[in-house]
Formats: sequence, C-alpha cells, structure tokens
Amino acid sequence: MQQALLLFIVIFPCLISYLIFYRRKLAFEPIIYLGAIGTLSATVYSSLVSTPLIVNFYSFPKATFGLSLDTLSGLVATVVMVIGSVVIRYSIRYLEDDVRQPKFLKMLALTLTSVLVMLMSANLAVFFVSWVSTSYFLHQLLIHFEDRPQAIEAATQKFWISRLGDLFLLSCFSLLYTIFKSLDFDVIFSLMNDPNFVENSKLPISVAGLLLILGAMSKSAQFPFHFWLPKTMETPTPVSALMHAGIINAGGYLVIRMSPMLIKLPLVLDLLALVGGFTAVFGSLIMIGQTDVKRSLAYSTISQMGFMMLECGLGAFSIATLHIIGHAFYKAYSFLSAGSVSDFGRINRYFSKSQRVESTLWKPFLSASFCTIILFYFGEILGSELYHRPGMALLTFILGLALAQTILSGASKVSSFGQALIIGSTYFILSKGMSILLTTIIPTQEAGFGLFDKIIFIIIGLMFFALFVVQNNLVWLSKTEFGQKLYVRVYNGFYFGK
Amino acid sequence: MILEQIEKSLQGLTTPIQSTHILVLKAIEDAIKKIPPMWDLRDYVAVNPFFGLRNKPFLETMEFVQGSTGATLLPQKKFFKQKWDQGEISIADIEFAIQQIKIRGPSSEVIHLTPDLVISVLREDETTINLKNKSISDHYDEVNSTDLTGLITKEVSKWLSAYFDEGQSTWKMPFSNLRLFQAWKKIAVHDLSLTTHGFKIEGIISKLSHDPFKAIEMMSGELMAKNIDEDKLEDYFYRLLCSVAGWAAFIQKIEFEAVRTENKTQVLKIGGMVDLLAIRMAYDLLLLEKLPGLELKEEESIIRSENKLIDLRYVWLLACENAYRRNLLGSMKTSEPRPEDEKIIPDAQLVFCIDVRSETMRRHIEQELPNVETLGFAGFFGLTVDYKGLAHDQADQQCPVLLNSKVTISEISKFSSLNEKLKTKKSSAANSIRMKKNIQSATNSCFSFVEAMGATFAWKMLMNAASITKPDLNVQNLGLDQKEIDFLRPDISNIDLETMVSMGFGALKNMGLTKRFAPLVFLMGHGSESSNNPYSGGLDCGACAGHSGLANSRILASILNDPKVRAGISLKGIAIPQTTLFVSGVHQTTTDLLKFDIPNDVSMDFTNLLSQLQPKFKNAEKSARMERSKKLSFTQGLNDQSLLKELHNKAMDWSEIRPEWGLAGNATFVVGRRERTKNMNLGGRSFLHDYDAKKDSDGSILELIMTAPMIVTNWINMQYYASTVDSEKFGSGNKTTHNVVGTIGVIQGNSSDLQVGLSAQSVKYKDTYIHEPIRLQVVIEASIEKLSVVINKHELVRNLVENEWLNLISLDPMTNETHLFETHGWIKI
Repeated sequence: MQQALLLFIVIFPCLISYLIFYRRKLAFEPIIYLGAIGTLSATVYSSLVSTPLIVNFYSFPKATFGLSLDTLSGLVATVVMVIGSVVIRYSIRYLEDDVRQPKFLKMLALTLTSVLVMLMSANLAVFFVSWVSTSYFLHQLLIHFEDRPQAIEAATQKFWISRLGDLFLLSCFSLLYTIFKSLDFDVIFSLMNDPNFVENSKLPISVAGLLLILGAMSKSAQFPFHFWLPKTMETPTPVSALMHAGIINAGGYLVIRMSPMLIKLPLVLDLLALVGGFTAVFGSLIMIGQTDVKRSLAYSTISQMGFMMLECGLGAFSIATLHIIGHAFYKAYSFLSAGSVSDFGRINRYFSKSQRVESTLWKPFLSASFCTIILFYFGEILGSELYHRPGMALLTFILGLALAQTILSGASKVSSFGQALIIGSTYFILSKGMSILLTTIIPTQEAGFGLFDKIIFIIIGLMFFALFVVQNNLVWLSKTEFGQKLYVRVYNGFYFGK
Repeated sequence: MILEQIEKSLQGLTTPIQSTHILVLKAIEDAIKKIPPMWDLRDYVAVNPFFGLRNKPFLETMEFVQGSTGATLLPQKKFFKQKWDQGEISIADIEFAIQQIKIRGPSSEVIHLTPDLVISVLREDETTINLKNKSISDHYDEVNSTDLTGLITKEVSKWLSAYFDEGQSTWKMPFSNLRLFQAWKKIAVHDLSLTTHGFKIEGIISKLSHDPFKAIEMMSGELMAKNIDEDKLEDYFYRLLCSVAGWAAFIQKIEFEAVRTENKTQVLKIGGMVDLLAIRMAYDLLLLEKLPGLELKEEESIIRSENKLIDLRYVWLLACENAYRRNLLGSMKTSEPRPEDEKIIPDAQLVFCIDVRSETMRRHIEQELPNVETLGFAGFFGLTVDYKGLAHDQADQQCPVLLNSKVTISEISKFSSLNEKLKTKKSSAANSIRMKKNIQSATNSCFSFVEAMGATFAWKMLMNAASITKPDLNVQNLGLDQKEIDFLRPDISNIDLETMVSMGFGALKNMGLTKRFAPLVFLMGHGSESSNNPYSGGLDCGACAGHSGLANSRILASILNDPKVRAGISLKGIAIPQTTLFVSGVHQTTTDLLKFDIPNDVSMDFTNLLSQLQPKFKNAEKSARMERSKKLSFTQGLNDQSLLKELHNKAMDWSEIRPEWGLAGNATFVVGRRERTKNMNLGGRSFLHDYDAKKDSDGSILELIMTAPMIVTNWINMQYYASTVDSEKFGSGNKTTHNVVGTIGVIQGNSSDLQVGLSAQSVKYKDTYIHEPIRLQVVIEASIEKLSVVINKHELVRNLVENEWLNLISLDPMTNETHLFETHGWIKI
C-alpha cells in the first residue's frame, strides 16, 4: 500500500500528462489534483503516525535505494504537486497552438517527477541522480524556443552553473560516503549524534558541509550564482512559474534536509547566513529598480531564496521551510498572473491623487524602533530568551524592520497598521505550527554561538538596516551623485552576467 | 467641428525650431513624421502602422519600410498558393490585377507581366528581405558579425522604460522630471553596460549639447564630414527610429495628442521624438570610432530601381482582393432595397457598433425577428465625451482617438445617497490594493509577507485555475459588488440642454434614424472580456478609445429619453414619438451575450414587448455564438449550454491567450442601406455602417463617415494586416513570452523594444493565418460624384484611396453600377 502510494505520487505528473495528451479536456477536470490530494493525505498520515512512509526498491549492503515521505518531504512535495498540476493545466491552453507542445508537456512532467523523487529520496545517491535529472529536463524547457539566441544564452549559463553545482554536490556526497560509509540520510544523522565520531572527523565533515552549501547556493541562485535567473524569460511563462516555485528552492530543501548534520557546523552555517543575507539584500535592492514585471519577480526570487538561506544559516530551519512553501505559492501565482499587472497602470491613472508620497526621515526610524521594541518585548514575555539566542534576535530584528516597512506601505495608517498586525501574528502562528510539525525531522536545539558568530550577525543586521534606510530615502538618494550611480548599478543588476 | 479637429491632429507636429542647421532640421522633422502613434495598454486602439507614410503609394511604402526595418510586409506565397490551389482566386482575378497595374503606367517593370509568370512565382521559395537603409550599428554588425544594433535597441529601450514607468519600479529613475534627452544624459553617463563590448557611452555624452537638436546637428556634422550625404540624412534618421520603433510610436502618441488637444504640457515635459532620436544616434556615433574605413556614400538606393521586376506577391495580393470583392459585390448589386415604407413600424430597432462582430449578431437577430431592424453606427454613438468613473481622478476618453472630447461626464449612483459610500468603498479598495503591492514590492516587508501570506496564494491559484476567479482587478469598479455596480449611471445633469439636444440630434441624424421609431430602440455598445490579458483594450470598442461602449450607450439613452431633449430635437426636425423608449445595452463579444439595462418603471406595453423579444434574442445569441465558435478551438461539437460555459471559461481563464478572434478576418466596410446586405452572410468580416444617400442631400453624413469611421476601420485593418505578415516586427510576437513593462506596455522576453501590434496568437493558429492579410474593401452606396467631393476636400481621405491604403468602391444607389477607385480615377467593375 505504502509502496503503491509513493510510486503513484512520483509518477503522477507523467501519468496525467500522458492522459491529457490523448484527452485534452482532462486538464480541466478535478482529476488533475489527484496527485496533490494523494501527497497531502500521505503527508498527514505520516505526520499522525510520526513515521515516514518508505518504499525500498533495492538494498545494497551500504545503501538502500528507495523513497521516503516524512512531514518535511511530504509538505514540500504537496506544494510542488499543487503548483505542478496548475502549471500543467495552464500550459494546455497557453501553448495550444505550439507544435512543440507535446514535447513541452513531456519535459514538464519529467521535471516534476524528478523533483518529487529528489524530495522523497532517502539516500544521497538517489538525491544526486534526481538533482541532475531535474536540471536536465528543466534545461529542455528553457530552450523551448530553440531559435531564440537569448533563450539559449540563459540556458547555457544556467547549464554551467548547474554543472558546477553538481561538482560541489558530487564531491560532498563522495566525501560523506568516505566519512560515514553510507549514503543513507538516517545513518549519517545517527552517526552525527555521536560526539566522539564528530570530534574525530571534524575537518572532513566541515569540508563536506561547505561543499554541500556551495551546491545548494548554486541551485538556489545565491550570489554569485544568481545571474542567469533573470535572463530566463525567453521561455513560456508557465516554465518560469514552475522554476521559481518548484525547482529553485531545491538547494534550500537540501540544506533543511541535511540540517541534523549542518547544525553541528557553526562556521558553515555562518557562511550560509552571510551569503544568504547578502543575497537577500542584494536581490531585493535590485528588485525595486526593475521596470518590467518578470525581471522584477526574478530578482524577488533571488532575494527570497537568500532570505530562506539566511534563516537556515541562523538555525531557523522550520521557518525556512515555511518560507519555501509560502514563496512557492506566491511566486507561482505571480508569474501565472503576470499579464494582469497592467491593471496597476489603470489604477494609478484613476486614483492619481491618492498616491503615497515618501515619508519624512523620522517616520521610518520611529516605525522601525517601535516595531523592534514591541517584538523584543513580546519575545521577553513569551520567554524566547532572545538575549541568549543571537540568531533568533537577528531574525526578530529583521522582522521588526519588515513590519515597520509594512506600516509605511499604505496611504491609510489604520489599514497599514492592521496589515502589519495581521502579518506579524500570522507569522508567529505559522512559524510555531511549522516547528511543531517538523519537530522530529529537523534539529530544535541551536548551535552554540560565539563572538565570531555574533559579529557576523551584526554585519547581517546592519545590511538589512542599510537596505531599510535606502528603501525609505529613495527620493533624497536620487538627488545625490552617489545615489544616481547606485541607481544605475541597481537597474543593471550590477552588471552581473552582462 | 469634428472634421477640423481631425485635420488639425493630422498636420503633424512641428517641434519648436531653434537655430539649427535647416537641412538637418528638415530631415529630423520628415523622419519623425513617418512614425505612427501608438496608444498605451490603457487605451489600446488599433493604429495603421504605416499612417505616417500614407502620402506614399502602398507598394512603395512596403518596400521602403522593408528596406528600413528588415520586416516582411507582403503575405507569404504559401498563403496565396493555398487560395490558388483551392480555386478561391481565379485566373480572371490575376488578369484583372495585371490590368490594374498596367493602367497605372506602363513602365518597363510591368510590361512583361503575364498570368503565367505570376503563377510561376508560387513555386519559388519565400522572399527574403534585406535591410537596405542602414545605420552605423548595422554596418558595424555587418563587418564584425555582431548584433550591436539589437543590443542598442535594448539599451535605449531600457532607459525609455525607466523614464516612462508608471508603477512597476519602486525606485524611480532619477531626473525623470527633466526632458527625456537631458534625463538620459545625466543618468546614462554612469552606465557601464557597453564596456564589455569596448564602448564607453560616457565619452560621447560629455560631447553632446543639452539641446537634442543641437546634439543631432553636431553628430550629423561628424557623420556628413566622413560618410553620409546630406540627402540621405532623413532615411538614416528614419532607420534609427525604426530600430526603436515601439518607443518611438509611444512618444509619437504624446506628440499627436498634444496637437489634437492643443495641450502641450506633456510634450513640454518629456521633450519628444527628437529626444529619442538624439539618444539613439548617440549610441550609433559611439560605434563610428571603431569603423574608420566606413564609406556610406555608395549605398544602393532603397527605392526600387526602374528595371527591377515588381514583387509578384503584390500582384497576388491584388488578385486575392479582387476575388474577395468579386464575391462580395455580386450579391450586393442584385439585392436592391425597396423604397422605405413610412407606415411600417418595426417592433424594435437595435443600433450596433460598426464592428465586424456585430455583423454576425445582427444577421441572427434579423433572422430570428423579421419585424426587428438593426442598424450599424460607430460605437461611440457620435458622442465626443470623456467618462469619469465614480471616485476617479481622471477620465477615460470614450470616442475615437482622432477626435477631441468636448464634455466630461461623471458616473454617479442611481441613488444619490449612496454616492459617498460607494466613493469611499472604491478609493479605499484602491488604497488597499496599492498597499498590498507596496508591501510585496518593498525591500524587507516582502520577506515577512511571503512567510505569513504566501499560503493564501495557493487558494487564489486554485480558484483561478478553476476559472472561478480571475487575477484581473475589476479596475472600473474596484471594491464594489455586482448590485452596487448596477446602480452606477452616467450623470447627465450637468450638461446643458443645448449640448444634449445637439448630441442627440447629431446621433440620430448620422445613424439615419429620423423616422419610423420603433417602441423600443436598443443602443448596443460592445465590450470584450478576457483574463490576464494586457491587450484587453484591443478587443474592446475601438471607437470608444479601447474601452467598452456601454458608457456611451447609457449616456445617449439617457439623453434621448429626456422629454426636454426630445422637445428640442423635434424643433430641429426629428420627432421621436412619446411611445418610444431608448434602452442601453452591451454586446459581450467573447460570449456573444446581449445585456440590457431594463428600466423598472416602464409601462406594461413595454414589459410585454420585452418579454416577447427576449427569448428570441436568446435564440439569436445562441446561433451567433454557434457560428463564431466554428473558428475557435475547444468549442467544436458542443451544444449551446456547454458552448456558453466554454466561452465563459475562455473569458475567465488566466491561461487563455486567444480569448476571441472576433476582429480577425476583417476585410470590408459596407456603408449603405442594410437591405443591400441583409440576405448575405458576410461571415463576421464586415464593418457595417447604415447610410442612405437620400437622407443626406448635402453629403455631410458621407463626409463624416469617410473621415471618422472609415479611418478607424482602416486602422484596424492595417494593424491586422501588418501584425499578420510580420508578427515579430509589426506585431507583438509570441504571447507566451510577453512581459509587461512599466505597467503600460509589453516587451518580449528578457528585454526588447516596446511591442507595437497584435500578438501572433491574435492572428495566427499554428502556421495558418486566422486573419487573411488583405486590404479593406470599402463599399459605399453613393455615386462617384458624391464620393469624389469628399476625396477632393480631404487630403487624408485622398491619401488613403489614392495610395491604396484601402480600396474604395462606389455602388451607385440609382444605377446599381460599381466603380473601383484606381490611382488615376474610377474604373467600372
């Protein structure tokens, strides 16, 4: 039963695409969500019984080739399945008159199946193979219009970045195998719980951890591996939706999956936090200068992935999982509905007088201090002990800035204040819920933080604060030569990949 | 008055002359004049892309533009071959085409034309087009096998989209308060984008004057000293503008509007076309330094030489039009209208827009209800108005973009007590939407937003995928529910009686409805519904500036139902019986549904009549829908109920990029009495305007039709033509890679020039043309003398007919003879 269900889940995209190929109307029937329903049910079941669903295809002495669905892989797989089904359905009408539609559907289905296998792999070898095959099939989708030079250029750049990532990951997994003499996640994690073992092979494990996050960074478009992503708009919109929502977060998923190991490697996590934090700030700064919707969404993805990596680096793996899920739905929706942003041009014409003007300098400061103080105060009341947990303190500080920005977003103070309240409280509820859900899968204890870590965190905090200051002083900044130079660099994405 | 406005707007804008070298200035002005205007997505209307070249013959223009853009502007041979193989084009059509060419002037290039030669061309490969009018960057690319011309297009477009952005970016381009050229100079000086190619834009910017005219003059001086003849400058400038044709057209619209409305605020703010030209030229000059040996003086002329053989596809185009016209006129000549019997009063009259989609609907209504008459009239109902939605700060134009609106009419609620409440609802909905967008697109707040609110998008996504909701905002009626939307009405109380009387009288007179008023007169605007479609305006009413025509129909109905207005109109000679009621309504073209504003305080007679008519209207909708669905995909073999559901889904579906093909196929504009066409199936390809020469003794109605609706139909037809023959350069290419820029325009993929025309999906399906690219056949039921009067009076009309931008055919109401306007006069056909 378990075997059948898991197999059904991973081959569902191929199955449904095959059926649709012969009966197009199926795409518009609820049957297309059967896979998502199956995945969700399996996830709920495995969560209730607190054991993963497992299927073993073949057992070597040192490795078991199979699939495993636990709450983490189940949740992410459900998201991918929902988005995948919507994207398949979307592509039926969208590419209706494209002679290459059959090939497109095939590649879409194979990409989805690869992603699902990757998410559910219980073993590093299966993970690696599906990681590479995802990249291969996605490549086919990116060169859908093979006669467009720009499409080929972007796909080629991505191809080489991916191969670099493969190299990182392959070295990492080989190293892990030599250390742990196994490729199974479970074996690795249980050995990691043995302090003596860890102490004895501290260096190789750290190197493996470093290679791991380098691989993850390359997959999730982290600086400096990000530049190909904004150039992939030469392929039909549903590909962007799938890539930004279901594939780009594979790196993050890998980090979360490996969190029981990574949590023991504070230096590696520091690096991840630094790169993630920088990518978040960098990407979102570029985002605010973009004038077309798709490029703006692409930089948004880069920065959101960076933020997710930052959360991982700070040990907040359950919040990072929440981020993956939320971002996937948000970004898939944004791409699929990108044609309707022209409505904003109309709204700005009809309601031209009530446009928000940039507030004075003291307002952002006031708003930021207010939000941060409130959040730290609540943290104190709820016993979060933020003073002893610098990672959480940094996240709380960034959340404070985020809510402050939310308060500054609307023309009406009451409604933007209400919005901040809603976002803040939903955030707390969801992140709490997520940490309960994933309690057995990802580490709950935090890495010990030393002075070095704190310095890194302060640097990250300052970057976010600088970003907040820039965001709220754009008019003033545009008048200075520094600001003008910065603007041109921002608009050009700092010339990466030109 | 309307005519004056058109003339004025067409004179072309003369940008203020400064002390620049007169030759360069003349070249700039002449090159700029050739660029057509383009309206942005909010008022997206069809424009003839060759409008600026209308004073040159069709074929000459096509060859000139082909040489300057590399586009293919005559239909593929494949298209003609299919028509020939299927017997749609006869040998007589080809012979007549050859005859047409020969009578224009027996030159050496046509003397050898024979049908055999023409037919033999179908066996040859498709014609390839070579760029003949080249910029420096074109030459550079040729020498170095690069695509810097394409790169420059992207660079210029990059700055233009930053300058004109209306809401995408949070960080606005610094200096965008200056005129375009100066803003570009100040900001692009920091741009290092071309450094990897070995060029520094900074170097050239520092040499340029603040004044774009002077900058161009200086650069032209440099060019002329080395490489280019003075008389080639104009073509050179035109080529530069063609390489950024989309943004050029965008700016041309702003200049065009300034002339039309005599309001130069916007033009003074942005500068104008000359700014764009100066920017583009600066990039060109940058490349000149690296091309020391470039010699432009011996380039071949882009105007075709005397001895060259005529492009035979052009002969095929004529033959194809001849074949279409032959079928069309055959049945029109034989169906001579009976004289109007004043005693027979129809049960109802329905006035539709001249739009081709009305033709199908009208035919089915007439078949269903023999006692009902339908009329065709431009869908703005002759009302030159702006319409300002409730709570809006700015109004939309609701009349053809060639005309100036005289009155702004505001929307109010039927119950004045609700006004304030609805206003607050709308503006707070707008604020809330903008706030959410700000949260998502600001740094910092976007992160927590995604984590807290991301999951809600799963729900939205599933609802959209099930076509239950669509991502589009109901921008006209933000935050209102259907009941509240139904309360909204145009407020005509602030228009003075005299204006209303002249509006009502003009509309009735020009639509030819002066007697025999039925008890119910329906005024049907039209609008299209689609989802996630930046180009939705292109499917709405072109005569209402790319908006739905419902507002105009409501305004006219309110005016004509006003007893005081009726009294005024009767003094002018049109007596509307007390028993007549005007009802506004809208024809939804995606679903072919008719919706009426049924007044609830009318007498029993009306209610009875209405209840008799409505089931029949439903039948007509059904059969019209069936007929039109044959062209669509996904709709074959469905019964009415599932067809309606499917069409409704099409309108709602965010993945539907072919919501309707209603305007595709447009081929003719018939101006005459409905009886002429009543028994014909025009296949949804004909614009229909009612016209009775007997009611137009002074020819003023004819003059109006030929100077306003005829231009609109020509613009639509030429837009469809150009988008079909070259969907990359004159259309907006493949819609699956469309990318909205600045919330007001569309680019292709990663970056490109602003896209100008219709997407490939609007005019093609797989490799076949959904739209047949032929020029508009305008058949007017009027004598050649009457037509000649208008042609001689209006240069614009003369340009269109003499240079073959449309084919004008006179169908004499007395003799039933038909004449075709040829370059040198009328020929009997």
